[in-house]
Amino acid sequence: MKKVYISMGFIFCLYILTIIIPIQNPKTVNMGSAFLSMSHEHLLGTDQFGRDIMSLMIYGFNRTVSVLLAAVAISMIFGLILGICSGYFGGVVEIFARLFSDISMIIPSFVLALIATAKFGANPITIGIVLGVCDIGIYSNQAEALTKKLKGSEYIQAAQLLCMSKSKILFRHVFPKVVGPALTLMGGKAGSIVLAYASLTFIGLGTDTSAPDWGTMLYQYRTYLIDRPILLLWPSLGILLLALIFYYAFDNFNMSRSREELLYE
Amino acid sequence: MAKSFLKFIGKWMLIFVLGSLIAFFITRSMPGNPVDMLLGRYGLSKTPENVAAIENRFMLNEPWHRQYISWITDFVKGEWGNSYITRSSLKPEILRRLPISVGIGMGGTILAAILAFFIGYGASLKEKGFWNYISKGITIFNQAVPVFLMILVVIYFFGVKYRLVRFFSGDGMVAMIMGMIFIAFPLLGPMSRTVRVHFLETLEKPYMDFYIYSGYERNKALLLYGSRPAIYGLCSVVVSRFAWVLGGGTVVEFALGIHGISLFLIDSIAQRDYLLIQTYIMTVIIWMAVVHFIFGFIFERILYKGGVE
Amino acid sequence: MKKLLVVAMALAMVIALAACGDSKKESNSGKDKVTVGQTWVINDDNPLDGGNPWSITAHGISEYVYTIQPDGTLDSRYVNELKQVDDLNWEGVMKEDAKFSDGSDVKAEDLCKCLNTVIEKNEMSTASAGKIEYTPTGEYTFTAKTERPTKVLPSILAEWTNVVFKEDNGKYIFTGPFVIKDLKPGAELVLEPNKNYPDSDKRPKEVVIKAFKDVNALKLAMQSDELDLAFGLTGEVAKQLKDDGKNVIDFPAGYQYYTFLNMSNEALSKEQVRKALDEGINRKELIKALNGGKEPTGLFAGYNSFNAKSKTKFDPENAAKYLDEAGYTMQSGDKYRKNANGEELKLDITTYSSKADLPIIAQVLVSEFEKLGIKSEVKVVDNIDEVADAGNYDVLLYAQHPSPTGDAGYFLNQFFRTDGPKNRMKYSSSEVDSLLDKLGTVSDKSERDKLSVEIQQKVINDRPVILTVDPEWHAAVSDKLKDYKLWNGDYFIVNPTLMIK
Repeated sequence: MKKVYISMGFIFCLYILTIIIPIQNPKTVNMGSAFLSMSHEHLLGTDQFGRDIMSLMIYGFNRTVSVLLAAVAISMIFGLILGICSGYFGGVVEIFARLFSDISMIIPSFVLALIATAKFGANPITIGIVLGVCDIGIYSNQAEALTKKLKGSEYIQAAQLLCMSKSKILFRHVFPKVVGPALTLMGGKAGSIVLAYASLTFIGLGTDTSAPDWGTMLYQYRTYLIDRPILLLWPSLGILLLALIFYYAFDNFNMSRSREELLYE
Repeated sequence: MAKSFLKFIGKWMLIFVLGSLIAFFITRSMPGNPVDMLLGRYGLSKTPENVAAIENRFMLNEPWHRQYISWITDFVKGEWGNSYITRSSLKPEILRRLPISVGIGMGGTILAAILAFFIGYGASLKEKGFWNYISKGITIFNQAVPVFLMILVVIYFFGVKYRLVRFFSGDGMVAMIMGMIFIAFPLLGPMSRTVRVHFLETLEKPYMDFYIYSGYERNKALLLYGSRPAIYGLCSVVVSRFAWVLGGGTVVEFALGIHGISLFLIDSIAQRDYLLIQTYIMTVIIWMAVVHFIFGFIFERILYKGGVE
Repeated sequence: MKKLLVVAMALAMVIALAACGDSKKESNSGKDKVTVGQTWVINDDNPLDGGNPWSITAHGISEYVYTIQPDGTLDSRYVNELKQVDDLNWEGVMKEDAKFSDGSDVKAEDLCKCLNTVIEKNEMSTASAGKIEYTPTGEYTFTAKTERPTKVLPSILAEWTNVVFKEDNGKYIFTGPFVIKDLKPGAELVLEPNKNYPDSDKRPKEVVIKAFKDVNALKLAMQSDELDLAFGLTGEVAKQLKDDGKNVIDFPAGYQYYTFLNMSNEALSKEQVRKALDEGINRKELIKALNGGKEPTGLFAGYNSFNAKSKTKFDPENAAKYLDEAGYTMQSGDKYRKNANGEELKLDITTYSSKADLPIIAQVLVSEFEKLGIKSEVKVVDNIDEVADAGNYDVLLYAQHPSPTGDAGYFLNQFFRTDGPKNRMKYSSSEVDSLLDKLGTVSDKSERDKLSVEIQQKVINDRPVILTVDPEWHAAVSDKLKDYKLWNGDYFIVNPTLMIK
């Protein structure tokens, strides 16, 4: 647990920092100073529009984290509820829960993203929610498999014999065991969520490039991959760092993992 | 057998019906509509005559339940209709593109599985060994570098700089192979981790000690006796991936210009080609049902009979 | 371990061999083959379906009755003269040397039959003058009767619906410089020269058109010499290819990028605010950001004789003064201007991404707005026409070809007449309306030009739209196609100038 506190604390501090640090207006285009290299004035240099990359990185950080948190929250909450209910109750509940998670994975995320952005605007939260919805199935499948296994275990059966209420069993005994592997799964997916946003932009989802998150920066600078790779280095490093923090925080979250749990790593 | 078969059929019938309803309504809840898109595309004004002409053509002026029923009955009968925008018949077009998407998707998944088996095996031998770092490294690399950038780098070095491969000439085979590789690459990380876990588990089994005492080399014994459970574990991952191969290759198809079904979909989404989007979603549902049927019934049974586990 | 290496290497070799083997078979260096990369390829060649007539013409398979030339004038291979008899009736005399690709002559009977079919089958063909009835009166003469009066039948015959074709046993026969040899719908089209088109012997024996979705893939294909023509490059990619030593054609797009202002917006209803935006935008920055283009002088592309010759001004200090006058002042310590009620001045820019230049312009505009103390965000939407029609925008950045048929009237009427179908600015000027009425009655070319300029001047002064940029588009060509010519945006990507040196 310590690792989780440290990592999340670190991210929180960064988040606060990015709000406090005075930055140049990241929207300011100045064609006269395009492609400047690193200097005192522009710590990370400037891009093709002469925008200060440091400001863009700082500004993009909280957009990036917003995408991430929105996605993770949606997919974990709904995934776990569906998965646990489906695994524990079986029967009709299972059929419908599976149906829902299957369908969430069938509908192309691009279509969902278009609908969502038209209704609520193309902001990081909206896109995060869409990406989260499309991942519900992964979490619910995992949670379902684990719950099924737990249900067969002796202590749950003992609890049932003791006439413990279903909600108590689910919350006290099933949920804590299922949430660990789900967090591990999430820790291993953090970076890919940011990239998924960039990929949606790549295949044509309109996004505001004057206020980019890190994924959008990768998309925007892709043309300069060979000529000026340094433009792509910063957002890549940023995403990598985030991915590593999440990986570090939640990897081996539950030390006594069974094989099924490890399987979903 | 018969009971579970009936259950299977029932479940997928339900998914089919619900899925078709969702497909129908989700297309209509997208912002914009084919009428606006067509008028906008050809610079025509939105006069009542123009709108009526286009709506008439697509039956869009009918009440929705009529539209739905006529679409779904036609679909079941195998008449998938024509694209709104190009008016070309959808069925031959989808059937022509389906094998391409399925091909690169399944090819990529199998390629990933084969490589992941060896990487995972190597990774299980030594915690601080080369292969374990490779396996972890690939996992993390894929979190920070999007596939579309990797594709650009590869094309640049192999196609432009060193001129080893001509990616864009010929009959598209090169692009297909590239597509498979780039579908495989992001899968390598998680798959090799899965294989590693299985091998690690075998290592802990008491009979491994027995083999080693009786003179087997440790690594060889592991490969010999750990492969089966590892392959079985890998198979279950592969199966779950197979169900999603159609959507999974979208970015790859887009970046390499592979004219599979996902690329078709992106075009039609931009033009609000309702019928095509609906048909795509239904195709995916049918594909998933087929995969689940083949692997859930046939494959699983053969495996069990074959005595694994 | 060894096994692993062996397998991995074997796999790599198989892939490499497959790839190389393939590449050896196909070499693009042949003199007789030209490969074109662009963003789309037709699905079929039916000239009556939706937008297909436009597409097959852009592929060089068909031709419109009249074709717009690089200087903005019209020319026809089929019609010699069109004379207006009265408001609704016209008489036409044809040229006698045009042929279909099967070698048969294009006669009045063929032309009238095809145009009548277009009117009947393609709903979009009646937009300008209602239903038109064509009747052959001799081997090479015909008459036309329009449903609504028009002064510009040649322009209507240059509209994208009106391609010349005939049907022969369910197959379509066209008159363009190339004919279809093989088609993989949406992916690849193989063309060969039309032997009955002038200069067919100078054309490459085979033209392959391939669809690329990503502009970077297009760039890489050009760099690896797998393409002879890469069409649809963004400014930045064009610049990179130039730096790489490739031939790049920069040509006037014909399309114009407009910044429409929603005059029902409280701030934008004030003339001073619109003036401030006009003078506060540095168009040189825009042109640099796009890597090309010109400062616009009117609402049309610079090459048109009917384009106005006004001059844009960049004066940020003046702009700030206008904003102060309009009641939006900057208080010390504030980031943005506020009105008397203390509300921030906020103007969002709505645009779409299917024209890649627009988000770039939006980005520069946001920066210029913020420099003026106006809070601004870019909204990239997918359904721009719906949003614009509903008036849900402050500032609309929009691309439009105002004169694809060499006439100014259609665009001006659609966009600037009070309650015009595309007047999304809620602009209303009785002066402009009466000038437009007058334009509808004049047929003399120079008179029409003069009136068009006058209307533009009035609109430019009222500023429902801010002149933004007269763009250039870019294409890269191999040495084989060094003399290739492109014009009128994406209307003629493969055109009769495609000849091998």
